[in-house]
Amino acid sequence: MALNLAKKIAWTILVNKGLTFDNCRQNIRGFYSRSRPVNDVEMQKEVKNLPAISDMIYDHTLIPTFENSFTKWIQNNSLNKCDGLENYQADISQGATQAFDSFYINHANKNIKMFIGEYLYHIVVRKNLNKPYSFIKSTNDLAPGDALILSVPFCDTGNDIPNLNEILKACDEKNIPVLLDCAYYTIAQGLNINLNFNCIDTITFSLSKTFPIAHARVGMRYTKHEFQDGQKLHSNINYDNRISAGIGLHFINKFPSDYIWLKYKKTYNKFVNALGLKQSQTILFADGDNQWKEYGRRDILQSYGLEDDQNLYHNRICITELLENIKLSEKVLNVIN
Amino acid sequence: MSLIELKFKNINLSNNKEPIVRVVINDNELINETVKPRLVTPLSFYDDKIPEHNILKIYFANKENSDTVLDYNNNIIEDLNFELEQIIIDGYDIKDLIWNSQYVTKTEKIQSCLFFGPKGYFEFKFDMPVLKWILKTNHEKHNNDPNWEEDYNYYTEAWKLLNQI
Repeated sequence: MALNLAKKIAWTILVNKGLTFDNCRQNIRGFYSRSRPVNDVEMQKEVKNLPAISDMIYDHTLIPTFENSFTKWIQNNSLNKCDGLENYQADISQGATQAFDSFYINHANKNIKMFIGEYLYHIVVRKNLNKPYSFIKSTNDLAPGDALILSVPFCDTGNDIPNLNEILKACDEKNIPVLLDCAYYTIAQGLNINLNFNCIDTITFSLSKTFPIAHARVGMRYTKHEFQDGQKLHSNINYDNRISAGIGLHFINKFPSDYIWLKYKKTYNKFVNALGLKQSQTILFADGDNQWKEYGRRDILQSYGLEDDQNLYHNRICITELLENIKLSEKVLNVIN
Repeated sequence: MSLIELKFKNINLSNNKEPIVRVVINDNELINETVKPRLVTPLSFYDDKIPEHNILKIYFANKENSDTVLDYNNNIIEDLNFELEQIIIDGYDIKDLIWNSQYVTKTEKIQSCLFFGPKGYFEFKFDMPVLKWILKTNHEKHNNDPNWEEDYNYYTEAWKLLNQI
């Protein structure tokens, strides 16, 4: 019943966009499975108010200003806490993805370990490059010589990892470098991340899920001060992408890091309840039961040629489209109910 | 109001004479004019109550024996003819279903023929709503679209909801 309602809302939104029947069909599968930011109207206005490229590209203070402001912006989040971020050095990243690639390079000889449900990029890259990776169920599956990639909130659910401290403690003991992917941090609530573990090698943030500027590839990497690699070399010599930095700085100056959650919280709850979904700590996502199978990430897994047991994945449902079309979605809900 | 759009190609004249078509649906004449690459007509006489089952006929209205010019070896050197390329009903291209048709002459019925050479008419049967008919017929033919009806129902319901709210 709830899924039927979800389909009706989805079709109505797509038809209202002027899509043909065939285009609606093409878009309907990804309607609840894609992960993308809300095209918030106020944010779209800010895209039009961005500084001129000529102002950004010759501003040699832009990168350090953005890096310093970003750390404060993250720490001023009223809904989440990450303790110890100030002990790491920020350097701008082309999305979180550049930092992932740097992590692969820096730990080229290690076996990358992940919990099943982790961000598919890692799996696709490791598979395509024929580099070792495997999934773990617990810290018992970790051994010296491994490197761990862990998204917090977790990519497959949008939720916190309840035993995060235990995992990090085990990695400390086994000398396993960890990349903490906090791409969803600024669209989440209720996180309390302790970053004071020696094993934490890299922490990544991204603005791609927070603001409708994903194609500007604005991300931030945090590593230990003494650490050096190619990515940091560019940071040290002020040779990073100033346009990304300028766009990112403009947005974090306009919107606090808890803006999305606070703005859409009420609507999120309404839709999630109406569709019989389980709430997530991340505002774009909710968890669907088995009837939502076709709308989880399975078709993405298939399109990437990933043969993992798909039943091990959650039915992570993305409600971005509903948040973008609040009035229409609410009207459909009212008519049907 | 429903629209029928016909697209023609390879339109050949004979002795400067242009081919003329008479387009008829369920014995109601829609068009009677010179063949152009694109002909569009509304189904105005139905006032939105188009029957479920329909027969579209495109008559080659002005073909005569003298339009086919032969040389001494009986090779055709000039002929009045053209080809039907596409049928679009209410904005939906019927695509390959155009071949589910026949060309009827005095002496024979040629299946799946889009070439208007001999005097005769092209006949094509379809149902309304045309989208539903396209999806259903394609699935019956290829057995590759089991969800067509469910998706069609969501699509039509979306339109109803949008008109309602």
